[in-house]
Parts: sequence; structure tokens; C-alpha cells
Amino acid sequence: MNGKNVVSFIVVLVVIALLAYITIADVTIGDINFPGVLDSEVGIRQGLDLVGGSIIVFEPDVEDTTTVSSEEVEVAEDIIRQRLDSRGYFDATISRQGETGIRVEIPNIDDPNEAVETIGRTAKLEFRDADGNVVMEGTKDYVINASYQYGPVTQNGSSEHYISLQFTEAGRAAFKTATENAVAQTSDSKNYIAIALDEDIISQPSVNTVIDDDGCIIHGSFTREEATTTANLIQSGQLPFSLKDTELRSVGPTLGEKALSTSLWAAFIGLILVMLFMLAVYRLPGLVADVSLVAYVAVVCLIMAGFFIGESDEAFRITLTLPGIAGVILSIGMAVDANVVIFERIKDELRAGKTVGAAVDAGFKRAITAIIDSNITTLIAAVVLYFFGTGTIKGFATTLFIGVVISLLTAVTLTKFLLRQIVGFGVKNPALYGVSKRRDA
Amino acid sequence: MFKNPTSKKNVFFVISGVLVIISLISFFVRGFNYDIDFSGGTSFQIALGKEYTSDMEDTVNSIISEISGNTAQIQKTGDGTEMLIKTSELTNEQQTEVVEKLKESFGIDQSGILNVEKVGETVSKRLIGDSFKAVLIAIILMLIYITFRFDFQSGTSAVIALAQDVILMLGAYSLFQLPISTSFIAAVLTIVGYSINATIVVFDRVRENTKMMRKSSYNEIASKSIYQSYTRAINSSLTTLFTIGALYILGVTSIRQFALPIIIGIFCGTYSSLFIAPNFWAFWKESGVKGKRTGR
Repeated sequence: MNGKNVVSFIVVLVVIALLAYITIADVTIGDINFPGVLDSEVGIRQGLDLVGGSIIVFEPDVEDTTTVSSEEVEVAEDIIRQRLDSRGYFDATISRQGETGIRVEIPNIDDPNEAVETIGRTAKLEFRDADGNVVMEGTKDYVINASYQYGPVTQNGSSEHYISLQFTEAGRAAFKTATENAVAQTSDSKNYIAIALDEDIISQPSVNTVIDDDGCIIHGSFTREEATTTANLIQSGQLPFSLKDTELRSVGPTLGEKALSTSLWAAFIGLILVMLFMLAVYRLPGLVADVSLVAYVAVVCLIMAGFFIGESDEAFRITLTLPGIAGVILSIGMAVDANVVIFERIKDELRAGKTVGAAVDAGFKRAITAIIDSNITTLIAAVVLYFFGTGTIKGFATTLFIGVVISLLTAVTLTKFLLRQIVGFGVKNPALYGVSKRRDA
Repeated sequence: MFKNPTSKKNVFFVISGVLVIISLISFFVRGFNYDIDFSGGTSFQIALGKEYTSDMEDTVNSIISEISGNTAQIQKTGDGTEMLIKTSELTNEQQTEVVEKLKESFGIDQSGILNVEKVGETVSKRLIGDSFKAVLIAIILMLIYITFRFDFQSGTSAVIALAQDVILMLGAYSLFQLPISTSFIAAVLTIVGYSINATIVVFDRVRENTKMMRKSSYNEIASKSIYQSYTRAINSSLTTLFTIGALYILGVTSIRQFALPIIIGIFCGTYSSLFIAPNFWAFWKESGVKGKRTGR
């Protein structure tokens, strides 16, 4: 017995147990709390097919021959975001689907059709005076261009984020009149012009002088993001297309709940079956593979919950959808494959008459080329799926990718380490490694 | 036959050939049952709260034809108390109207409306194009990788085995008219990954045996490699079947749509990686050197 082996073996086991515990239980250490990956707030973010809600995909409603630029779609995205926020759908997410599709996901929504109508209708942009009268419309009859800029707006002033507008002749005249009226009301503090999108005021710049120019700038203490969004929204007045909903999927909360619970049960039962199988077929190495498998499942769940990157970076948190769960469960089956390949090699070496220690080392060495090559090809498939797939297929590709990478760490590195320690204990009876004496004598 | 599989390689080629031909005939004769993901249309999944009976079909059909003038496909799903209605693309107003009428006719409330989906025709066309492109690009990249790590014959043999898996999966779906949705595409790609994985483990043995068995023919090398891979192939297929089988038995409709093609694909993939890829490799190599190989 080698004391060093025993210590490192136990340390690793404790770390794995701890990981598994953090994954499922509500843990608080000092100021840090992690309520487990199934927590709805900070756990794995569940897709709409698991919590219920609507997915709406909008496309520009144009003839096939008209091209729509990426910037124009971005503007449309800003409009949709603005409309979602003003209706209280703060949980909604917006993403690009394909080149021009805008995918909107709204959890827990009662009437998706109403949402489609309000979110997808043509934007109405207006410039209004302090009394709410429309002084100029944001259409292309008046405004040619609105863009975000950064730089000093006054002589010797410091740089700031602002919006630059360009008017048509008609726009110039209308804006001149509007600013004259606004300046005239300075004493009543009514010297501002409000910019409204679909009745919501998005910006309210004050007017200090009459502006008679073919352009103007709007500044105030904007952040870069605010300035860009406002510029985009003004620009939206001349969006050359309206939006149509090409896809609408609504999942009721009852179905979502059932999908989640049945999938979790399937994962649990599948995992237990796999572990029993490995134990029965490969004995001691099988037990080690089971330990690694627990570590694998825990690490994959924690990664998907964004545990290792913290809450700061929301963008890296993965949204788990049904195909995603299926991908994870499938990857459990595939994760043990690397162990099966290795253990079969170890058995070969034992049958060839090698000692247990030599057989374990040779088994890993011989299996590694097959494992690397086969996993890289699977990764190629996952990456292609990620870049060419849409929506749920993308989610599936992400979980498959994570699954393959983590399984290489647990099923190869971790299993190898643990098995070496066991050999170091002096456990050297080949029967414990799944090779029957009778057959091999 | 299984002790020395390469000597019987023609048997395997014939089995595969027949299955592939049956699949191809089915593609043309029976075609595919596209889900609304691919054909465009509107679907409703309804929890009835009672056992589904066939007279409900007439009720649904009259609702749909009254509102849109079109027909509907109605299917019993889940544990027998749910139904899936598919029809051509409805406008938002028509869709709301259908939902209201369904609630009224079957005495259910909003919680019984499990799922409503609408997919436009243009979207579905693009989806087919994108999926086809994804499979093709994945296969080309894999072929390049395998040629680089093994040899061109191995790469081509692996791709042929893969093509067989995909054709047979499609064949099963065409023959039994199972609905093809985006989940099916994800499943096909999973099997592409799974099958190539299995094939490479066998080719890894081939690569190793080619170095060690310098006096042997390619047939003998392939045979031995296949024989050495049996246990691994069976054990790995079983573990994967445990998890995906549990999903199929317990899962909801959409999960089953994903699990079923994977189960079919695992059987195809295991068969093709053992008996098609290495045997085809041996066949090709042997035809090049007329049964004698010179050591490298």
C-alpha cells in the first residue's frame, strides 16, 4: 500500500462528491450562494419549450429581389426591443435567425397573437413639442439619415456620445419652425422636442437655439448604447420594409413542465443503467468510470448553469431546450464509450500476459489515438451544426460540443488518474479488471 | 460469419445494397411525411382531458374547413388523451378562431392548448436547404480529417458507411411515413457523429494491425480488426441505448420524435461501422494489389 496514492485518491473523490453536491443542493459558503442547477433564477436557463411561452420569427416583408442589409435588420431589432420593454416583456430575448430573420422569445405569455400584432407592426416615429403636438414625422420625407457619433459637440468641449440627424428640405423647414416655437417657450421650461416611437417617448432633447440647418445633433448625457439605439430608432422611420411573422410557436406551461420532469427522470434512469452496466462488465475500472461519469454530469450541468464564469457574463449562459437535454443525455452514453474503448484495450493487454500496472498504462496509450480521432470528428459535426443550424439545433450542437470536450477530460484524464492510484494501492488481481482467469489461463 | 467477417463481405454488401435500394424506391414511391417544420403550416397540440376517440376527427375537420376551407390531419399522441392537428398555414385571426372553437367543442380551457405552431412556407424551404448544406459540409470536413489521419480509402469507406446510415434512416421514415421535423435533422447529425465515431475506433484497429501484420492480406487485417471491435461496439451501443431508450419510453412527443430516429440510427451505425466500412476498405485495397500486399 502506498500512502500517497491513497491520499490523492481520496482527495479526488471528495472533490467529485463536492461538485455533485453543489450541482444538486442549495449551497451557501460565506457570501456566495449557489442554489443548484435546477434553480429557475441562477440555475440552467430553461428554454421556452420547458417553461412555456412563445417564439416568434419575423422576416422583412419584401420581394425576393430586394436585398435587406444587416444594419436594417439591426434597426428592426432595436424597434422590437423597445416595444417589448414598453409592454413589460423584460424576459424576452431577441436573436438573429439566418441572415434577416429576427427571433423573439417571450416566456409566459398568454396571447401570442396579440404580441405578434403589436411587436411586428410598422414603426411610427414622431417629433413632438412640449404639448404633445406632432411637429414633424420621422419618415424619409423629413429625415434622410440618423447616425450615432462620438466626439466633442462644442468647441473645446469634451467628447461625448451623440446622434447626428440629416434633414430633407422639408425636414429642415419643419425643424426650424419647431425649434423656433420651442425656444419661444424657454421661460415655461417647455423648450424641448420629444422623439416618440409608437407613442413612447424615447428621447427628449432640450432646444436652446433656433436650428436652421440641413442637419442637427442631439446630445445629452447619453451612453454609447443609448445613443446608438436612439439613432437606430430614428432611422427606423425610413425602414424600407414592414415585418411579417413567418414562424410562431407557443408552448403551454403544462407541456413544458411535463417535458422537463420526464426528461430528468429519463436522465436519472439512463444514468443508473449505464453505471450498473459498467460495474457489471468492467468491475473495478467500471467503478472508476462510474465515478468519472458522476464528475462528468456535474461539470456539464455546472457549465450550462454558468457556474464557472459567474453571473457577470450572462451571454455565456446556455439556454437549455428539449433537444439540448436530449443531447446531454445522449452524451452520457457516449462519454462512457471512451472508457469502454480503454478498458477493452486493458483487457487485451492483460490477456497478453502483462501485469496489471503495465496493462493499464499500455491500454490508455493504445486507446488514445482512437479516442482523439473519433471525438474530433464528432466535434466537427457539432461545430458545423452550430454554424449552419438554427434555433433548437444550435442548442443541441452546443450541448454536444460541451459534452464531448468534458468527456475527454473526465473519461480519459480523470479515469486514468484514479485507475493509476488504485494500481498503486496494490490492487492487482486481473479478475477485478474484468478478465476471467479461466478463459485466459 | 462473425468470426471471419471479411471473408463473407459480399453477404454484407448485398444486405446493405438491398436495404438501400428498398429505401430509395420508397423515397420515390411513398415520399416523405414532412412535419410543418418542412412543409409549412399550422399545428395545434391539445390535451383533451379524456380518451381520444375517432369521432373527434370529424369535429376538428369541420372546424378547420369552416374557418379556412382547408382539410386537417389529426393524430392521437401522448398517452392517448392528446391530439395533434396539422393544417395549412392559417392567419393569426384564423388561428385564434380555431383555438376558441376547439376549446368550446371539447370543453377545455387555455391550459389544454399545449402547443400551437405556425411555420411559413419560405422558412421551411430554407430549412431544408440549410440542413442539407450542414450535412454535406460536415461529411466533407470529416472526409478530409480521416484522409489526413488514416488514408483516403478509409475516409471514403467511412463516408460510404455514413451515407448508408443516413439513407436507411430516411428509408425507415419514408417506409413507415413517420413525420420528419427539425428534430429528425438533429438526430441524423447525431448519428453521423456517432457512426463515424464507431467507424474510427474500428479503423484505429485497422491502422494498428496494418503495421503489425505485415505478412497478412488486407482481408485478414480487416477481419481481425472487426473481431477485436465486437465487444466495444456492443457495449457502447448498449450504454447509449440505455439513455436514449429511457428518453423514448418516458419522454413527451417532441422528445420521442428525437429519440426514435437515434435508436434506429444506432443500430444502422453499429452495423455499418463493423461490417461495411472496414470490409469496403479491404475490398478496395485488395482490388488494387490483387490479393498481395507489399509491406510499406
